[in-house]
Amino acid sequence: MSAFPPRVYYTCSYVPPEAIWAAGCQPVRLLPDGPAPGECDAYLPRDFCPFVRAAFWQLHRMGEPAAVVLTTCCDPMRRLADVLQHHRPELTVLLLDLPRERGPRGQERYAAELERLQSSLSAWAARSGRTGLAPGSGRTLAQATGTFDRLRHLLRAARGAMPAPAFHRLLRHLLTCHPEEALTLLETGRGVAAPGAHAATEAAAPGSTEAGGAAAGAPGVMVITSHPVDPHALEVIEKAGARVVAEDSCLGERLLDVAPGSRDAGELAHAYLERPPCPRMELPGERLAYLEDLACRGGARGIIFLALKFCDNLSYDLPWISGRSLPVLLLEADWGVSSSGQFLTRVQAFVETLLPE
Amino acid sequence: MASLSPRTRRRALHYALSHAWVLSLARAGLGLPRRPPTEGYLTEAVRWGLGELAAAASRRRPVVWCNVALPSEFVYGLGAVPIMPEMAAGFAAAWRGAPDFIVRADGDGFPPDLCSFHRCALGLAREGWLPRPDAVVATSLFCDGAKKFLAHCSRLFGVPFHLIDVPYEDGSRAVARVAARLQEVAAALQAGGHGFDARHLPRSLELSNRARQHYLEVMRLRRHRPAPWRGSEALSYASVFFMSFGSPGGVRIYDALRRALAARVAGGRFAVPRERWRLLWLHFRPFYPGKLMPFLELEHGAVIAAEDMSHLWWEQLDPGRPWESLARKMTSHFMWGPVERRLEVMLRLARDYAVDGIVHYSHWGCRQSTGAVSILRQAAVGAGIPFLNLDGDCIDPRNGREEQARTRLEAFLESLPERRDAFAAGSGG
Repeated sequence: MSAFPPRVYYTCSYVPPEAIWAAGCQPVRLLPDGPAPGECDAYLPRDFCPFVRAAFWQLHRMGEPAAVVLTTCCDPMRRLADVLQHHRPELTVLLLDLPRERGPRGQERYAAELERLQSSLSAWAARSGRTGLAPGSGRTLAQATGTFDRLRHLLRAARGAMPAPAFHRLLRHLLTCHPEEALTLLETGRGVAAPGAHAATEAAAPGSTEAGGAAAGAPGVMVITSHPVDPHALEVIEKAGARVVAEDSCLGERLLDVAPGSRDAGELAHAYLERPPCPRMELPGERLAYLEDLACRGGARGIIFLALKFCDNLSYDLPWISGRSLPVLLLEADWGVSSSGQFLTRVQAFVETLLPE
Repeated sequence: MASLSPRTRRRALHYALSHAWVLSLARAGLGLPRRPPTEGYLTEAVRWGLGELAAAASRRRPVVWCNVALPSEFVYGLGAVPIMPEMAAGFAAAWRGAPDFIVRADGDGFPPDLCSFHRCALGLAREGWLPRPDAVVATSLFCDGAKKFLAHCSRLFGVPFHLIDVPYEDGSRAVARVAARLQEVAAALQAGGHGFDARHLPRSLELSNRARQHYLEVMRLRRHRPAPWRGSEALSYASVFFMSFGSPGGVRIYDALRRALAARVAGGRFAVPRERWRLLWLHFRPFYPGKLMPFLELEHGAVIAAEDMSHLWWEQLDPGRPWESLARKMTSHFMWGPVERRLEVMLRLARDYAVDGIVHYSHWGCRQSTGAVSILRQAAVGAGIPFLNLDGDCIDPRNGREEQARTRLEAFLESLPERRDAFAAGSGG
């Protein structure tokens, strides 16, 4: 097997990295470092999802002829697929049709999409002459799922052992590196070459303050957002004196809570569609009940609603969540710029209201 | 009337719509004839609109709230009245009421980033201006906001919510899936009471086909140079286009429109005094009263010859296979699926209507449309057609940026070559 399988970028938590891995490619979660610059306006408008703009810009600037897997999860993602195909034709863009129905019909539909994904990626890797698998050494989907089940298991354990900001810095590294390297890192815990990951594991050590871990007795909060949560935002929340005890984001429960043991595309489709719902998948009432349960299990005293600007799917949740028993703080932010002084001041003021009299 | 409280005004409207004698009196007072003259399409549209509202307000027929991409034939086919709150927002804007309703929605915690069609409609719903729904049906076509907005409304009113999830790619499997889902939703609605009855479906599809034939002729007449109908007016009939197919009113309206345009062409009475340029308009127009449309069409003679949102894209429906027919209408929608579908429509309309330029109106908050502008521009320019992207707001005049839009439009028109065959009204075709 090649040590350097071709890299396949993906943006959505409903894309199973195990399907990419089974096709002999390395799944790389696209997590842009910062906001897109003004030049991006020539391709996507300003009043548009800042995460999608940042993702576009990263792919647009990329030198390698990579493949990208997107889903039809929202309007901006669908347009991202169009814009990439038109303005960067050398990229291979695969758009998965993500159903909203989670029953048998939706699962059957999504299973067909996952099969198409695997065969397209295998063909792409072979065409590019960079296949990650030697002839006759095919990796089955069950084997690939086994790797990622183990990874998710270890990640859940790591999450319980470290402050949220440190966990997310570690996660960002693990989601972009070779899956076997990620497993080694989590199993050994130390001796990591990657500086970001090393800092993250160091920060997890008892007594460390590097990650901005909250003080004992700090009130627990639940963070809700529709995108991968920004580690800087989590740092600010913990610096303000709160402890993140529950998280509804693309890198929170939605990433880790996947039923293990899928052996084929049908089971994988079932496992992914039955995960905690993202705001896009919502049926009235279901998501609200899930969020209340999540907050209750974590012992949250308040909710911080991190609204990425121009996210329609998440914005409609706010009035319902605000009307429930827990106090809610709404913070609007652009992608990658949520660590301002004003942000800290507002969180501090909110945390004060959560402290016991 | 202005001195009455909103609640009293609302009740008065509901009372008027629920009692035929009030409408008769109003019709007489407004001078609306019972039998429309040749140019009676406006009268027919008003009669149809008031009739449907009256049926909904008086609960003579069940009421379904839906988005504009749900075929109205489906709702009429169940014996119900379709209410599309997005279109109601257009009326609120036309009556200068949109900002108040938007403020109401903002007060409920909806951020101003959201589409103003939906924020205004939320305000209308919260203030009780729309007939209460018996059920809410949304399709995944073609924007996220509409689905979430309608799901929110179903919770608000405590009524069932049904989503018809349309696969992204067209094809026979997609049609079969949507057809099955339409049947499921119809069965659930009938089982829920309120008088839904799918036996109206074949009749609804027949009526739709008859309206479609008239509309095809309207589209053919609009290719005439000079144009017989202003696109700004055509876009004002968006609610009729989305909500009347499948009803007897739809047939009458488009028959009257067809006759009116034919008479204009025959009589040499055209849309603008001197047609200098022909434009294709993409997406909707600002619905509030303003100077932008008169400035464009009347002052500058740049007539909107065609619009993508009011072009007829579906094939004839088969009353013998209603579910498949309706499913095909949905899966083939040009605003759904890869952007190539929209590009194909844009270039075809540009060619068929012999336009000199294309204007895309980028409505605030509409990600699905504005996200494709760079591609639409590239394709238009590649085909040698000048393209202008105009930022604005269809519903909220506070966000309309009208002065800026006029300046940009003026510069755009100056860049267009003067047509050698520019017509003056009355010069014949």
